[in-house]
Amino acid sequence: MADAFFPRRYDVIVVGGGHAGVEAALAAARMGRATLLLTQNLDTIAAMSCNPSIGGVGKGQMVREVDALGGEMAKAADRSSFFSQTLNLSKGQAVRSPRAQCDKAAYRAGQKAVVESCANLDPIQDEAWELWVEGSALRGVLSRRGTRYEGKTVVLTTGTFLNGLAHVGLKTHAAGRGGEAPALGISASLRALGFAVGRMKTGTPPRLHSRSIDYSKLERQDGDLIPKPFSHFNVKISNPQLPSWIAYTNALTHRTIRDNLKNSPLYSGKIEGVGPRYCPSIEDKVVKFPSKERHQLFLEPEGWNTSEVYLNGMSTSLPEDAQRALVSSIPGLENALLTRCGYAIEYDFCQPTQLTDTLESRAVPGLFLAGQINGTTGYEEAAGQGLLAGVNAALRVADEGPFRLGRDEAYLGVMIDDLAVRGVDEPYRMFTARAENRLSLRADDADLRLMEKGFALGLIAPEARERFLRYRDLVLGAGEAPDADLSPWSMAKVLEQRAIRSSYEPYISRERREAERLKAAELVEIPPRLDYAAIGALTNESREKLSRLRPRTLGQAGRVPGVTPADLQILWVHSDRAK
Amino acid sequence: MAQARDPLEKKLTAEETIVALATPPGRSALGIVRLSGPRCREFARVLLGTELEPRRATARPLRRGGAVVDRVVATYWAGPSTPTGEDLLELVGHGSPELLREIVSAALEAGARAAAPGEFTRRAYINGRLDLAQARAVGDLISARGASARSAALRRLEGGLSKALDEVRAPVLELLAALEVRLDHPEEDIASLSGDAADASLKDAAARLERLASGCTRGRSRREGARVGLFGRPNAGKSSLLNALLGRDRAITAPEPGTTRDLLEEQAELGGACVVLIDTAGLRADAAGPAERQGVARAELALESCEVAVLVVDAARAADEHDAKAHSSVATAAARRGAHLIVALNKMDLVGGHGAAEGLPCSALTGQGLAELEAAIAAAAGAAAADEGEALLDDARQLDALKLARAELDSARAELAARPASWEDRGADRLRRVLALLNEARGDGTPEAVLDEIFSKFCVGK
Repeated sequence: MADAFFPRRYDVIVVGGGHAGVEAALAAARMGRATLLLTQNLDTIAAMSCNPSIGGVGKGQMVREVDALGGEMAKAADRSSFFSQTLNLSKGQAVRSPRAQCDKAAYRAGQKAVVESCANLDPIQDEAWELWVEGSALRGVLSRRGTRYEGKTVVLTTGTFLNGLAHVGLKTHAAGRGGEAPALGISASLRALGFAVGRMKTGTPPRLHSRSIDYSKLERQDGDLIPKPFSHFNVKISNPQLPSWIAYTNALTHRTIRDNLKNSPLYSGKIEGVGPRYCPSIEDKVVKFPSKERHQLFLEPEGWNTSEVYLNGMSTSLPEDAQRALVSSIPGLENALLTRCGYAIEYDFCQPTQLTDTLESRAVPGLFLAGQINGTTGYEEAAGQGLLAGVNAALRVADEGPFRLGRDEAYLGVMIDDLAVRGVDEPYRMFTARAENRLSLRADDADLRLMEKGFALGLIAPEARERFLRYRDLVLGAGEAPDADLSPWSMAKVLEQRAIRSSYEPYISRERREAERLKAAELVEIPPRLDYAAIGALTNESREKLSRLRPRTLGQAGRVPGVTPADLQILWVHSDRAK
Repeated sequence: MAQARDPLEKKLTAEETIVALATPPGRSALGIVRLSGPRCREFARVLLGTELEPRRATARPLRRGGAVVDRVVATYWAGPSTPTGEDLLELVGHGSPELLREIVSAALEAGARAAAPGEFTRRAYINGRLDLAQARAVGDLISARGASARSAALRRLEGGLSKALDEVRAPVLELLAALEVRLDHPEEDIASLSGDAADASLKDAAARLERLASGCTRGRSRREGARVGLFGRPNAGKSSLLNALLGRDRAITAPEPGTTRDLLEEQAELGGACVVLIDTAGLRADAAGPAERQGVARAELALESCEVAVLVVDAARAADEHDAKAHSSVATAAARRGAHLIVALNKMDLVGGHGAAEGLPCSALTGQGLAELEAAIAAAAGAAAADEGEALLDDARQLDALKLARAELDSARAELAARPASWEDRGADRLRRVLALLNEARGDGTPEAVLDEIFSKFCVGK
């Protein structure tokens, strides 16, 4: 059967409708590009496949940054949150981080509505099967049904779907996310194009039926009394609030786990993918930290209109009966009904060092990769990459210069630099420890750092920007203004921001000076086709790494592990300014 | 002459004024310390207490902290018509390593920065004083210096400095990881950090740094001069040769093999060159006990750090396969590192004239051929002396880093005292800098090390 050609041609085709895909598609469409969002299932756009929460330390800062650049995640969280917390409230301002638990259905429905009402954006349900490449030119995407979608650029945001394999005990089944089908075609297509494709693993805990939980034996935890909105553009949250509950594992739980390790796909060697150290399964926690007598668990409702409760902290891939035994060993959960089992999922990813620092493939120009396909984990990391990939795809179509953020400007900049320059050897999650300029990259000043850039991209409305500028001038200068002129900002926010800035003053200046010093190296571009083999003075290790990673700037080269200061000096001389 | 490069790249060289020793150290009549950058004139005023007229050599006493260090001849040139294209200050002093180091230190204290390898040339290139071909030649030079930088690093390793740095670094890393884990994972039930405990470990680290910095200053003069190692099979007569070269009985010698176990270092002047002579344990694969085995390991380490390797061969005995193996390992290591190799055919007095092997025939017992050996060592050491200049600068940078790290620790303690309830993010910032500075002094390290520490110590995540 001959392939059918889809009647419309696109500037940007986004494959995948998760957190990365939604941001990528919205950004490109809002920048005026004809955009296609291709997803296997329109009903699961922006599904929260794991925990029912957005934000956290480091992650919350990124959500604020996405919002300041005109992204959607913070607004979606505000629409659906029922439990908001500022983490690290007792610690310094720089590490205070917003986190919100959200109603999964409301979150999804909200994002779907935003996608559907966005001009220039066509959401279509079809499974991308192959990248359509002629010669070395990217033409678009071929779907499983045999439809050719023509597009100037393609953004792949396939999440955990690529050759996804779910494990429960020693049983496995091909799966994408939750019970959804995996995506099978794209990996082969990427391999055929020369991509190195690896394997990663992540996991999720069982869900419980609320009715079967004895809450009287658990510790109640409430969110902040006055929930603080995630988005710069919201002033208050008026959603009904729900509590969470705290429980603890005990000796019996740990014994049950140890007794069942032989049936664990993790410990029987069945799983080959690399899992994260920081989001370990309960099996990992018990094996690696045998002296810890108990581990904390959080019971988080999955929403207003569901009885399912997420058992945060109990990620596991043990067999079903073992999972039931584990759960019932915990006081309060003796009779708990498991509505869904925990599972581990293995999936394909592409080492992100194959991308430039705009998330574009070096091998296939016009192809962008964002989200878990790049070896990251987390909704927030995905959304941030999606936004940047969508923006850069849109810019590329219009032949405009790329959009980049420095490590000193945003957590998003730290993340992209870590991915493209250093690569990943476990699922990558953001931590504040990764940011050299942590004291300047705060959740409270994401707007001051980034909103002008969002406006320049066309993602922040002129009216909003006008108020923002008024706010900014007041923060930087002196004086007062009526709140009405500033909304959603306010004079209270001005005063708060002034106080924070002055309390960090010596540090912020020092970080700025340091950033200025380093910036010089970021501005020295290394010729894209530099022949490293011809530079005899480099060490063999550096030569091999540099010719593989092809850093764009001297600064990036300096962050490649193993490259020495002497190597940099040599490179610098070879960064021949003769254009 | 090449054109001046664009202003952006000029900015790269920053507004900093750099300092370096421009002559090989060792003892000589004169030594030159050179500074380049916008603050040269100001530094001249601070160091010499006078305003210098451009292009006029002026003799003045140079002071460090009020005390006169040396009487120097200072010349100042205004940029851009200078070799680096920047203001340039040249201080010509007496050629003693101690005095020259004092002068460099005085410049550092005045606000100069120790120059990175090749930095003078780089500035010259940026300012259009060198063309690309010339600058590329410098690139090759820098890489050639890699070998000496490595031997300098190993020298420190051997001197125990690296171990001492690790002893400061470990508690700092531990405290930083304890802070970071609490900042990044508030949802975990990790007990809060006691302010008293944190203060105690900051104080302890500061005290260790203090000791280290003062030890550094004291210990350095002993390491002056090219390092000349005596290597060979047990009982080849290395210690006898050392004693003969020193002109006194410094090392214990005995007819049985394996007498020397520890490394023995002695400063000496051979044929006018300032050197450090190192006696080592005999190289053998079948060392008798743990002490001898350790001796052999140290000898191998010394082989990695010397500029001149003297392979001592027992000419009175027919070479067996063990000899061949030991000799080839010394020769290979020397060739790999670009160290000079001298073969000394010892015990010629027992041979009775015949000498088939190639090398310098000599006898520690009779003194035969010792003058020639001395001359050969001196020639090799003289050629190696330029490398020492790098080592000396490395030391200055190192001391700089240690002092700054100490100041950061004090600031962290001040932060803890000022806001005991919320000092962590600011304190962590200070400690990150301490680690960066310690790594600089040591020459390694990444931020990933902190994450590794976190994940090995704490059960994190849900």
